Amino acid sequence: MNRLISMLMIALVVGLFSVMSLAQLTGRDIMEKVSERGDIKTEFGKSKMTLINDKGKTREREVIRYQKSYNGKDGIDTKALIFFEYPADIRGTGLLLWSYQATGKDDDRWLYLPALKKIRRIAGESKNEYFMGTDFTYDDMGDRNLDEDTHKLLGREKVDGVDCYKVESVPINKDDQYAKKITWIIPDKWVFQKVEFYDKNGNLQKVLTASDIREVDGIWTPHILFMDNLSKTHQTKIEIEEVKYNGEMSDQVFTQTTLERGKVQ
Amino acid sequence: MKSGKYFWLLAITAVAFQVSNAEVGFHGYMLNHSAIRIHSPYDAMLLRNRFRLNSELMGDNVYAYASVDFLNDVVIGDSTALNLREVYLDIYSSWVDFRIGKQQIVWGKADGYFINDIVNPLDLSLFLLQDFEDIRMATTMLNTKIHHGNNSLEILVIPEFKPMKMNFTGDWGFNRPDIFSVQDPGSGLILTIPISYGIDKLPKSSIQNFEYGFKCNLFLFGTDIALIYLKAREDKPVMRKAVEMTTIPNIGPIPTKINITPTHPWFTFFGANFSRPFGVFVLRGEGGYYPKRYFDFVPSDLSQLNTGMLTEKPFLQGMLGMDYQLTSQIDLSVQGIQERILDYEDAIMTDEVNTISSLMLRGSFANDTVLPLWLMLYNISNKSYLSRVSIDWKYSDSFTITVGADILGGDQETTAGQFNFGQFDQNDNLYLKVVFGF
Repeated sequence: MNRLISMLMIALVVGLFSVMSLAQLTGRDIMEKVSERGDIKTEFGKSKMTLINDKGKTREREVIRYQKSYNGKDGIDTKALIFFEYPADIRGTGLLLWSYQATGKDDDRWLYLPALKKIRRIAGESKNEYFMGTDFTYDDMGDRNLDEDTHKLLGREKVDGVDCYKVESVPINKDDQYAKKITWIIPDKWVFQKVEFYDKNGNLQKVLTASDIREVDGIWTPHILFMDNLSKTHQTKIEIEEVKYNGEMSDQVFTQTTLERGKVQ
Repeated sequence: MKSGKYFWLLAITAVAFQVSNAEVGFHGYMLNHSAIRIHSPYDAMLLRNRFRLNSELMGDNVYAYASVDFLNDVVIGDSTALNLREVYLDIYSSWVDFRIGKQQIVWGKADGYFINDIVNPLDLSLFLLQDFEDIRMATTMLNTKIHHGNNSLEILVIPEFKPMKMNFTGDWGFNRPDIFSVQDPGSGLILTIPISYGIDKLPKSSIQNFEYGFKCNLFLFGTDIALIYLKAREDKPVMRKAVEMTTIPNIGPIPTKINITPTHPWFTFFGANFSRPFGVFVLRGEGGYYPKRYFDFVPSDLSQLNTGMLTEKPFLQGMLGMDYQLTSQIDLSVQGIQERILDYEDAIMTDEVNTISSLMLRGSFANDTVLPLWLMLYNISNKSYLSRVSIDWKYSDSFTITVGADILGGDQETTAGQFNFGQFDQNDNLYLKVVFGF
């Protein structure tokens, strides 16, 4: 009996400390937990993108994505490689992204266009250019360094019945494409439920919502992402068909040789 | 040639069956490409139907690709042809890749101009009216790529020689003279000599005639750098001249005919290119140096006719370009290109310096469904230009309509085969492309 009381006391103290520590979380702490969610070293994803215009007409894209975290090795934060598999006219188009840890250092980006059989270097600062007709910009496709924004916890708020942290992120660089982002984060899963993107005039430009959040390899993962571009009355829905975390992924995947090849062997 | 095509198809099929877990994929498109002259006589310049079938076989470390065109031209030659555009086999390993077969190699960074991009010969039978993937003709070769990180070394061995495809008649025929005028030093009279063009003498496919080259790709300090060496034969024919002399009583020997034989001598090429982003800009550049290249030489009088009328000179080319995102929907690219014959002599027919500038504005509207383009190539040296305005409308993922116009103009004077837009001054055209992809 004494043993049971002791265990309950310990559990209570641990729980209390946990609640206290969560209560003291700053906006940056929360975003850091999202960023480091599940300690993702590598990520492979296969998804279907549906592009929906203002008349409800749809176009589809099938995309494969590889990502690897380098945690500052040679100054690199993450490397990502994206291939389009469908439709035929953009099949083989690839984007290679190297994101750096140092704040202010632009990403290195290479785009391969099969019709030209040529790799083109893209400016690391061309952040407000939409990627291949989607409502995601090149910057949205890459991994954003935490220190590129100041993060402020605005409180807690329910989104679709889910209690979330509400964090405002304001870019340090005033030339950034967005004036601010507001993110709603599910506390126990450390995954976002909703993101609002505001333009330079302070107007709500885009809303990204996540749903069908399931645990894959111990990591909570949204399987449906829906970007509503209010400024263009256009939407992009991403359905994750396959995702794998922390599998073996060679450094050779994230090179121009693989980008040109159009596939990962 | 046909047996070669069947060999590749058989080889790929054989590999497909041998490769475990091989996946097969087919895609391609149907295209109608029509162009009409936009001044008198307002005739059709192109009515082309194309069915392109691309097939792929994907194994774990093997990939095979074949691209076939069924081409029907109504205006040009009223012909129907089957063309095996590309067919190659890739074998991958962790440090070296091989691509063997008929393939296209793109080594340059320039848009719309070929400085480092000289491995494949060009099909200029429709000048620049075709897409670049059709202008560049695939050739059979072995391409070995040794790679480590973002650095690699490409080694090419090219057993097949294919000359540049260009016409000397028809709408897109390059100017070439039928007569040659030269002064007789004795009488001071101007003699007009007819020119006869012989058949293109292609080198035999033997080991001695294999072309080869390498390209070293480096990623240093955020800059993509490539160093190139190529030992190859001139795709564009070098015109060797032989003068036929006839002895006239009381006058002596006089030239009565010039026989021109197109030849393809060897050249050595050293090249380099780079690209690097600077904030919102991307700076691109490439250069090429030929220690020896042949140029047509105009003899000042009759006594020099037997020099072959060719001279060897070093040749230098360079391009500097910049890409800039003007707005979130419009990209701007500008390029400056210069070619220079070193150790120049006035008797050389080609100008010492040739300077070209280009400007390209490319838009992307309505989520990549409306894609306008304006491309302007202006040859500053001979004041000729090509202005292309087009708009792609992607009605759906598989259906695209392109409407465009090519306006060409400027100085029409040119030497044989020279890249001068003015010689096609009469070819301003409006074109329509309808593409259904699958």
